Amino acid sequence: MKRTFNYVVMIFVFTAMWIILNEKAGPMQIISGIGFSVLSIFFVNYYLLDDDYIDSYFLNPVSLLKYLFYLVFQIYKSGISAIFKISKGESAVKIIKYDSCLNKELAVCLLANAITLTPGTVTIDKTKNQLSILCFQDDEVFSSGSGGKSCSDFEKILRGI
Amino acid sequence: MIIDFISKVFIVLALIFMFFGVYGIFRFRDFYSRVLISSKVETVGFLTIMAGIMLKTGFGYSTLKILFICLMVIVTNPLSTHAVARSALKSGYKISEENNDD
Repeated sequence: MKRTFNYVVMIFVFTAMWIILNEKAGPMQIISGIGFSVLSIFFVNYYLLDDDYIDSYFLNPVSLLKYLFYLVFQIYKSGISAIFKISKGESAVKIIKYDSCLNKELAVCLLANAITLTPGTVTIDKTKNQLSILCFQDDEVFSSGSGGKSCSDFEKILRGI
Repeated sequence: MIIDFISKVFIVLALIFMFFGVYGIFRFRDFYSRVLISSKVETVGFLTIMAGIMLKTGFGYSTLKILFICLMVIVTNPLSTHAVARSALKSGYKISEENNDD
């Protein structure tokens, strides 16, 4: 039942993307959108990926929206602090090990993605739930949470995914 | 009229972000700090300029298309930065030596 619901959500999202790209929401676009969505899911399931991905890689839309809003906020926050680093000329960098409190593979990957997107931090490596992060010497955002004692706000959001 | 003004403010802000990003790339000498700063131009500058363009075009299919592009960039952009930084580290580019060059 949950699996069918996930497929329906995917078809709905793909059809919406098709309508946006066609710039028209007529019956022809909706029908062709649904048709192409079903066809692309069928193609991916049978030729590209294992059928189990739908359960492993499905994202909760509400948590995804929360994640995106928080991500944009963090991007601007880090972007402004990076301006000060540039003007001061603080170029010393370090690599830290960060133990995430997340267990799901997809959530850890999304966390790594978010870390790389925020200016001043780049994820270099990932081993299970441990991330190697390249950051500026005085950066304490992720080094303070190292050891997995407490979850960052990103991780709290990603737990819902 | 007001929306047009706000969109221009967004575009100018984006250009300021991009200016500082490019300035940082030229100012910093070591490779890794340049990688960290270049991601700023890609994300902050790009998202702000896209927000300005979205406001300028008004709500419609073009806005949704720009939003779609932004989502694609958010998903795919970190991959290139990660690949460049990781390949440098795997190739033996040492951080300490880089910082000592300063």
